[in-house]
Amino acid sequence: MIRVLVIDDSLFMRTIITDMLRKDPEIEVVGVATNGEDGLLKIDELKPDVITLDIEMPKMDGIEVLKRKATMKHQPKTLMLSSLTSQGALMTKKAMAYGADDFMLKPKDLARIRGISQELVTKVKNLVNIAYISRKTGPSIEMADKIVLVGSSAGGPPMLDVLLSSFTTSLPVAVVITQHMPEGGFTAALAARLNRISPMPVKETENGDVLNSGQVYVSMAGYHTVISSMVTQSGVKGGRIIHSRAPPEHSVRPAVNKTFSSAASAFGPLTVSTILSGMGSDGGDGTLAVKQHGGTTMVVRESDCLVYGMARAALKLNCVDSVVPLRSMGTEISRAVRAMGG
Amino acid sequence: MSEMDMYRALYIAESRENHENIVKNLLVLENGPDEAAIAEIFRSAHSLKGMSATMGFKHMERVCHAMEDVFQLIRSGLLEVHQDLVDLLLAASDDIELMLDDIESDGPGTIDHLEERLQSLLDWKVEQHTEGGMNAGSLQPGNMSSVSRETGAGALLEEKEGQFQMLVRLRDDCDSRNLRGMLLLQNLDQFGTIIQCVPDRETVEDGAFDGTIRLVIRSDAGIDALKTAASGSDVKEVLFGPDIERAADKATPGTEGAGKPLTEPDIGVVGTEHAPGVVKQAREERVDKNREVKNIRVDITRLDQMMNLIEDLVINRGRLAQIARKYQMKELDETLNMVGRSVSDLQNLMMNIRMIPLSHIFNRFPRTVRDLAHKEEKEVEFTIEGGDTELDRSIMDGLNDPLMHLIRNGVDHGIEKPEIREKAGKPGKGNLKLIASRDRDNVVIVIEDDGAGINRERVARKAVERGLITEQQAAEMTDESVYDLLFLPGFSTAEKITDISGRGVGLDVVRTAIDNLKGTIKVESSPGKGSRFELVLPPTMAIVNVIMVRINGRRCAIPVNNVVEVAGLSVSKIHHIGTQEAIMMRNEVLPLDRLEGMFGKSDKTEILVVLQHQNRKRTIAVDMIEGQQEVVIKPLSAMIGGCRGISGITIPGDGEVVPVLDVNSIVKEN
Repeated sequence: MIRVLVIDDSLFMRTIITDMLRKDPEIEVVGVATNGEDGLLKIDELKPDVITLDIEMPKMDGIEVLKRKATMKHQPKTLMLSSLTSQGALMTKKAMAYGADDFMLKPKDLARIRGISQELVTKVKNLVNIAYISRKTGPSIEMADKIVLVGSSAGGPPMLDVLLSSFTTSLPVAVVITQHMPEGGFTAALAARLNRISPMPVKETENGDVLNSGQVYVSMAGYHTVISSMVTQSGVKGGRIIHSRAPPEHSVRPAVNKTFSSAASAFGPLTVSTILSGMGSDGGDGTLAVKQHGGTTMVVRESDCLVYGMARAALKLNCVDSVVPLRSMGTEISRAVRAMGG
Repeated sequence: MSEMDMYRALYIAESRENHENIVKNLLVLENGPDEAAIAEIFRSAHSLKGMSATMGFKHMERVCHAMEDVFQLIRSGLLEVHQDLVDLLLAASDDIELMLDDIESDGPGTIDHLEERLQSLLDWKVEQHTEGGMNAGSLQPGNMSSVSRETGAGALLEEKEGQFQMLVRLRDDCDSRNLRGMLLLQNLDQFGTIIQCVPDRETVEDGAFDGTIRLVIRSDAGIDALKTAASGSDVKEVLFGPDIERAADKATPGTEGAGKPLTEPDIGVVGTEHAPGVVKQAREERVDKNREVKNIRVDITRLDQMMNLIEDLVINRGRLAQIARKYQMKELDETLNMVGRSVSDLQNLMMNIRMIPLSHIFNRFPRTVRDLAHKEEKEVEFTIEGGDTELDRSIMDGLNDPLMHLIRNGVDHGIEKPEIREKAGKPGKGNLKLIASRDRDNVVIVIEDDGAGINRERVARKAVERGLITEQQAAEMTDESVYDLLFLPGFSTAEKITDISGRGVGLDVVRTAIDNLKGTIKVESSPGKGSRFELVLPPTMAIVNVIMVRINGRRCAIPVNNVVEVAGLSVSKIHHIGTQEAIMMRNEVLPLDRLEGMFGKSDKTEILVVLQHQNRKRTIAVDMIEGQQEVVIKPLSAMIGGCRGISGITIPGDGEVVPVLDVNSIVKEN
């Protein structure tokens, strides 16, 4: 049983969050708190496993809670519930820096979008079930000659948790994750989250980043992550990241298609691509490009996904090598990488 | 109720609170920079935006988002509060209210001018960013209407009586403390206002307390009622008074919890006599707490249904009592007495539930006054007192428009422009007061201004012009009668037609509305010093005090507030004017009706009842007067339809159906 404390100043939000969590038999909402002060008292009193934390609250805000919580004896995992604004993004980034474990955007358009509660429940469970990595490979300075691409959208973040934590060791590749998210700092927060559970170091992309082996890159929202091939002075071939402000494709930026297609032409057959949960059709053409350049293409199976839009778009183009359950995705990717002679 | 409906209801309730909070704090901001207010607005806009996004109300979300952005700039000091900006933000908060209204009536919550509004908010952002706050003229508080409101804390201090300290201890083996605690607090809520509660409600509702609740409650119900309300199963003891802690110690020397509370900082100083500051603070905390929804929303029609059921209960109890009398069963009689008590308690409780504080409608007025004063280039200090006076919901609904009219009237016609005021030796800023109070059984609302007052000559002249009275009448009339002319249909004294009043509807609408609420209105004025409108309203319409009379042996009820006096018929000489009988009474000729058409010809009429509606009087002859009592008036069923002369029926304890005279139509007739 996972014991959760919900901290939010809005009764409306508390009700919705509590209702969502209560739908899962393994989760128990042990209490609610209406502001930061109250929250700290209740953490001490109720000893929850996980807290969900709002940022803007009277008396004491979420950031302050995180600061004070750091010195407490009981340390529940913290899921920030962020609002979808640039301000919210900044605060989320800050919260991650102050020790929040994960974040989620506050539910939007409840009536129309299903599965939000599923995402929340999975996040809460991941927080408890996925351990932090203590032994971590250091940042590599060796240029990657192979690339693994991950495209993900709605419902994707908790799947990224599972995928990255399932790599037992560092892979001799560069991993580029393109997750649709609003710009402003959420992708940095996502990178921070993943960095804690992945054996490989995770960072948000920066313009000009050289793709190093054993490093995970999370596309910075607001730009397309375009991968261009490069050759060093010593003649080693590899790739680097270029941030493109080209107009959004399928109304998203970063677009999975941009990353996949550019990486396919840069890395050719030494490319592995996979698509996780997501709405829309971004990623379909990209996967086709990877296939056409001789790369290996995968998508996750439908039953693991919140929304099966992007993966289906790829399947429709008849360019997918295998459909893989999420829990064996890590193994399959490792196998594909090894098959390339890594 | 589906989940989504429930969320929607929650959303609306909480959004309204947020909206009110925004408006309240914007008005604070107008009087000068105030960081707390800025923070409050930011947070309210932020919550509103978040909730709206969750519910999928896009327009709402975007407007709130834009407001939040503007306040983000203000909060970080990049933007200064400016008059135009406050105007814009108020307009935006009006949009929010519009959208909420729409959402509440199951609409999509959209507005047509969304893009313009967003653009206008965005303009501020851009402008300030690029110019770096160069044009940020600071706030000019002198220039506008300021709104002050009695906080309630001051009043609280004076009102020491009626305030009780209580300590309630649940039994140690009580297994659902939270439930008991909640019930207890809810029971007490019915009898008064809980000013302080330790531990706080949240904690009690979570059950996370040691079974002891300390309260400070303001109530006029008396100790006994409170004690009854607090008692119940699983309640070990209920103690009162400032010495409760010691008493509790004595009463339960063995319990662990009893000694502990003394060390808690809060409760030690709660004493109403000794530490008024703390009570004030507690009050403020309470106000803070109120922002969270502590209430359930119940459709008013359900309350009406409940009221109807209770009335049926009253009637049936009366029947039972008759049966008991017939068979001379003492035990049944006793039981019925007990039932009777419960039923009347229930009835009172029901009445109380329907009561809501006037602040409900009062809170909108500061904004109205502000906007109006602004437009009219007047300076108005608007004060509200007695917003906590309670009134039946059904009356409240009908009160908003007339009050709004009177307040607009006060700003528009009453208070003069600053230069005129100064010439008259008055301060440039005018005072407008809205005061509510309880006067015995009635609620009195006064709207008072220190403006120009009513110009008797102008009123009289206009009345003559419109052919309402003759020159001669005008000269002879008392001031009071002249002011009364204001309430005649179509009368408007504004010399120019303004946007605000003078739309052809005048004070007559106000009078009609107040009449419908069974209330009265009167006006006083002294030239140059101001005018004063006084509204007297019954606290509820469902229960009315009536005089029971018999005509031709049949019973009939007459509302007491329509009865001027009662006299013996035999001593009055009956005159005949044509076919109409009349009585000469105190130099007034009063027509006499025998209501034979309604009740049949009676040969034993002995009593004369003088009825009045507004200024018209009329008398009726009745056999006898049975007494005076409070009854529930029920409307006539639609099957019967309207019946002239009868406003409804009532069923007193004995189960007989008794018509209630519609004095208004009787007086107007002929």
